[in-house]
Amino acid sequence: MKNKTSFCIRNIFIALITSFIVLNLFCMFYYNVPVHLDCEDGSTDYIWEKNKRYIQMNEGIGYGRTNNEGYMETDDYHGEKADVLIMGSSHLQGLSIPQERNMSSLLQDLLKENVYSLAMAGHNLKVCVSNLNEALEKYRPDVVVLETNNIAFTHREIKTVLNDEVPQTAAENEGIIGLLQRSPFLRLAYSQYQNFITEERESRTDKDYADESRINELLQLIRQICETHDCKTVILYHPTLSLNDDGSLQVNTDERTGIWSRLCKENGITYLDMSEKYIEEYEKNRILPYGFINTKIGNGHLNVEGHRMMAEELYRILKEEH
Amino acid sequence: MSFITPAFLVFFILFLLSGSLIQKFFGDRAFRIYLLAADFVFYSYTDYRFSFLLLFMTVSVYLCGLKAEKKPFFYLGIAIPVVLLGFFKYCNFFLKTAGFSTLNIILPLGISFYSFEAISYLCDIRRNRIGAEKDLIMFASYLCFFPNIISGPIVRVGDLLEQFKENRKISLRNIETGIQIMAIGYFKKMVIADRIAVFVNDVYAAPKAFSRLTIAFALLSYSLQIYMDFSGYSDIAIGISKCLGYDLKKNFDLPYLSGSVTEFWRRWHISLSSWFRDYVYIPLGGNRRGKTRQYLNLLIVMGLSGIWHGADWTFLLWGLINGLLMCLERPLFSAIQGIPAVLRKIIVYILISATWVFFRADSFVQVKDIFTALFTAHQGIFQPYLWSFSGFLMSFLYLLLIAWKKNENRLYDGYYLLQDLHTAKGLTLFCIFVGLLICLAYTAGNPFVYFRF
Repeated sequence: MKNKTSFCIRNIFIALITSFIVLNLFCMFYYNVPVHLDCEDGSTDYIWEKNKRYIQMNEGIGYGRTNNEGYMETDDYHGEKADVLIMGSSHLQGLSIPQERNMSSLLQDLLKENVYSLAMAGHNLKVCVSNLNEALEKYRPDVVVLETNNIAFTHREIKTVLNDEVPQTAAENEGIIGLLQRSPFLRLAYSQYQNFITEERESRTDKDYADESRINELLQLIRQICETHDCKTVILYHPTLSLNDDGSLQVNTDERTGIWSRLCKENGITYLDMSEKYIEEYEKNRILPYGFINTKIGNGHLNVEGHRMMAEELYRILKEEH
Repeated sequence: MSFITPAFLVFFILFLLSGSLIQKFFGDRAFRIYLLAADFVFYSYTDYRFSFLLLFMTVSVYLCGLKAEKKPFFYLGIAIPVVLLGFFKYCNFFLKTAGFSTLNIILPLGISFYSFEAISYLCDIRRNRIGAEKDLIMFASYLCFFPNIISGPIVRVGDLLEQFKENRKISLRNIETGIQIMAIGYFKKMVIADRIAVFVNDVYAAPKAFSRLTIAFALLSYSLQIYMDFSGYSDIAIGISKCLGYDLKKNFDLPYLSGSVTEFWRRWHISLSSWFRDYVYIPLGGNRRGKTRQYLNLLIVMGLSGIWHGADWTFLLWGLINGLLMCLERPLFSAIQGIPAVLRKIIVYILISATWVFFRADSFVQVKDIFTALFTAHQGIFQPYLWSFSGFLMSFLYLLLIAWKKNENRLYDGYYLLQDLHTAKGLTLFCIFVGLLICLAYTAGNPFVYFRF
């Protein structure tokens, strides 16, 4: 009986260790992204591990290497001035596409100038603005591009930015949590678990949207920071979209886009709304900027076509206005 | 309660642990009552009101069963599930068709399945195939058995009640087999079916937006999705039952390897097909009353099967088209046999995929949109959906694997390639399989297709 129990325990131990190794090997080619680290200079809330190869096939097929600063940027940074600085969210980070096809790489090829991207997952416009001063101080760009897919901010959200109270995203890379994150299988399993237990996404109940004067205050803050660093600003807005029954494209452009456009102009900020470009590309080529061959069509993060569209539009507007 | 919710996993683990203790310390009768209580907890989780309906049907069919040799009781017993099913499932359909405004009726989960079980129970008593069950707890355990109550398989009383009476135990050996079958079911559902559903739903939502090639691919993908979805559910139900010590028969027999539509229906949703055969087709005369009557019977059965799946004209037409294909096949039998087997299987797959359009579409307008977009030249989105390719590839590899392993004594009924979890190799392979299931599962949630029925 004792022998049988120890034999059983031995088998379980062997099975767990072996399968853990095999599953980690599998995940190294399926979902292997670096760990978050604290960003010491404050340009972003956090950075990725530096000089790490990554691969991600959960949404799209993305691969590449983080640079020497821990950004998903093709070029390393050695203290030089950036001509164009990109700040934005996971959309521009491009974890779901090959690195050399992300927007900053394409824009760099078009402009033949130094384009540097600080885009990070979770860095919406509020977070970017709260980090703007530090980023401009370090990279000294001529132009900064602030990407957002949402312009419907509430009074409270803008207030947190104006009062410099935007909560920081913690890196959580220490202790046992940090150790567990080293296993790509455990990271993926945790992410799957989070999705599994979240049956319904929280819907936004706070309808206290910011009025014009509040939006203007936010834009004035951006202008003020950029003027201090002698830098021009582009706000890049890209709305979500959906397909109608009749096959036409529904671009869900926020009704506030007109207000943003006018207020940006008044504050000397270039406002670029991707809506028209999306419609044009769809009507001409039936191409959508979001979604991948392994996810929902027209949904989720920007795909390679979305990055290309943005790079082309930014190139056009930078050539025209800057 | 759905099998793919965290709540179910907690419920099942707790039930298995507590059930085995009750079985051990309090005996089989106590376990039977405990199982029945669990059945009702499981069933009323979504909406407690449904459990009253289930209780009413259980008690009334039980009482009618006791006197089923007398015609009035037999017909009353049959009328109860038929009327309840008719009211909850078809009332709005008839009102809508007649041009009246519809009522606010919620379809109780699984009513189509347990109504059919109740009818088969009474018919079998009437035909002297079985005796009426005297023990209410025992009968209720059969009709309310939680693994198959919501989406089948439709189990005959003779298959399950006898096993209950054998007082089978929750044992480690059964759990080892059961969890492996469950894992296969979860993999089919969450990795293949749910992933493919993302693509199919997109195409059906806006067919005109997609290229012809993409639409054709979506139709072929849906065939795989619905098979993986429903057979995955059946596998989970079979696996859960096995953990509890009971054997449910397989519900699918590799239907897409069929060489004819008739064969397909013998191998698809076997418990429903055989139910219609035994309780509708044969009583109507089957194939004993000449060709014309046989064809008519086939059309009646397939039409009923269609309307059983959903209260809509699209489902009725779907059933009738399948019936028509079966009728057309019969006189052409020898000519069809002349076609090479592989080609026949491909043709059947394409035909079945085309008929699924009526099943999947929400309306005839959508059916028209799909076929119009499929057969007219237009510019559309091209989407070579990777998970569909992966699904086909995984299915093909699994078929090769079971063909390779068929001589080994490890294939459980239903083509489950089971491992011996007492060995390090078997346990490792199982752990890897579960790990892959965790990694690849679509976790954003898609309900089972057959929950609607």
